[in-house]
Amino acid sequence: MDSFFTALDNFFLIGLPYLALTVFLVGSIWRYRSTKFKYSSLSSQFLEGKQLFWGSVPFHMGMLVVFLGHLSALLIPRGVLLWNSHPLRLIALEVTGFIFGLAILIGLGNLIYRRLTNPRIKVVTNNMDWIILSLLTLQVITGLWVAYNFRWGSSWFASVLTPYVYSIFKLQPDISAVSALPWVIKLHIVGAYTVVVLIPFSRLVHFLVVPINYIWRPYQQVMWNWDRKSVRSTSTAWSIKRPKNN
Amino acid sequence: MFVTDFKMPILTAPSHIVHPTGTHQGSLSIPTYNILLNNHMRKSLFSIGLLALMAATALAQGDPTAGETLFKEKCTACHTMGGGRLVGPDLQGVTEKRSAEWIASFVRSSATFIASGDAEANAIYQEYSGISMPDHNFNDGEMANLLAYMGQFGGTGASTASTEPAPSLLEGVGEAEELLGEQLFDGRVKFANGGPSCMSCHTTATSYQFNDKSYARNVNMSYVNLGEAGLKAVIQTPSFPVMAKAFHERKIEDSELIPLMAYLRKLSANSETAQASSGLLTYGFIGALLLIGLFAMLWAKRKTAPVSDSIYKRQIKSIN
Repeated sequence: MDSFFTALDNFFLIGLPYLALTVFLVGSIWRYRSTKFKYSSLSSQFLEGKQLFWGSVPFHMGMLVVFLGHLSALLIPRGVLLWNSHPLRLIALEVTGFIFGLAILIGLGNLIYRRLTNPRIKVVTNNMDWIILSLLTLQVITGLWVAYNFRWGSSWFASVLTPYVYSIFKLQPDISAVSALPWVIKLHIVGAYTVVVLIPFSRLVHFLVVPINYIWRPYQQVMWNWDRKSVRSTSTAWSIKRPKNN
Repeated sequence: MFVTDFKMPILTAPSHIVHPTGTHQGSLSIPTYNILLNNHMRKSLFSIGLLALMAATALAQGDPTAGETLFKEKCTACHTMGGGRLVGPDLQGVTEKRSAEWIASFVRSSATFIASGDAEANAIYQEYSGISMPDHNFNDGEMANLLAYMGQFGGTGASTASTEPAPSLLEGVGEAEELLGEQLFDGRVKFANGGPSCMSCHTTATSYQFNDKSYARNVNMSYVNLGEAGLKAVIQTPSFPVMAKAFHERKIEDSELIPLMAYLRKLSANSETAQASSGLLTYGFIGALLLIGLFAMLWAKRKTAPVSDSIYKRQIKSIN
């Protein structure tokens, strides 16, 4: 039985991350090359907007903060530990994370309710949408569970999980500590790898093409077609190169 | 050498044996039957059986020198061979008192072994303040080496601390150290080698609790439960996997150990029980509600109806 659990740990904590990273890299490139025009999420805002606000806004705002929190513990673990060196700052950080985690849960609840009840949204919902919604619900519930029951995650993440993730990237996986963690934390980690696997094959792909330039783009882009002749010429239909949309 | 001709008894079972479910499995080949049987075994029974089996294969003599190295690396934080008890018992003569299978089961997963209901294992667990020994997944060879090393120490070990108590490490340590210990504990003073503060994982009955739930131990009474020698071993050379990783290459210095122990001594003397606290939950829910309110305010002017809405409504009104 022990060897069975060791095998499980080896698969989920060593095998799966490498599998996830490979599938994510190859899959993203493959999807961009094959269906470039669909490299985004299908917006349903035209079909229903009122309920969407109470789902999408709390979900995305929460996700931004929680994701950046995880990322900073991964990239600057020393900085996080330094921030946490005063207990009040630590508690401020943890409570902020918890609040935004709850915002994700509230947002997800609204999004799921909307997809279940609105007939127009039902039509444009596919199976992968449900898989993603369930997976993210699992992630946010286990995440809140870990934050509440195994405190203070921001500190032990930086000193226990960050070395583990580094060991994966250094190709010398070391799961001695992570395999001893409670199973809810392991479930949260495995869920995260599963999300990474599914990014190229679901609406999550919009995560890779966030229109960040919306922040500084001009309000309006005006194109003058002074040269009537070249505008009408079939040989100049595409100003730069012919798009490969499909 | 290992016992190589050890046969799993199950493989010699005649194929006409009646399956535990009552169905006749005579037509199945022997390996298939074996798998079926395993599936029907109770989880704990199976694990104990497997452990015993693994231990049995390790009964052969090992290399005591390699065992000594392993013992010093993995066991000395909590155990001695004839030097008195630390966090765990003195292991002198343990190979005479317990069978190799018993020791192997305990070492590989004491929690599983205790849960299986072994009376002796449970007694030891209770005697040592309900602190279960971390699992050590030694292979058969390593276990044989370890047993060979421990077998060199016969007789009975000291069941309690040696008769003349070692001088306290906290001789003449006062309030200044206790305060420094508290600050080291909750992170206000950083450890010289960069280890995380104790409060990252451990709870006590002092302030800054905010949330009393943790997967690590409440260390309020650790000074009493572990004693100075045990505490020193656990803090400086932890064998609990998560703590070992967190302090890997970030050892706590002697100059930090003393204040920490002084602080823990102060905590255990107070004997207050930790107050249940769920500030994280309370403030989390209040904050989430405020956040949703903030979103509503920030996007108060969002478009909630089509631009033609007023025209549409006017037309409907004029028809009626």
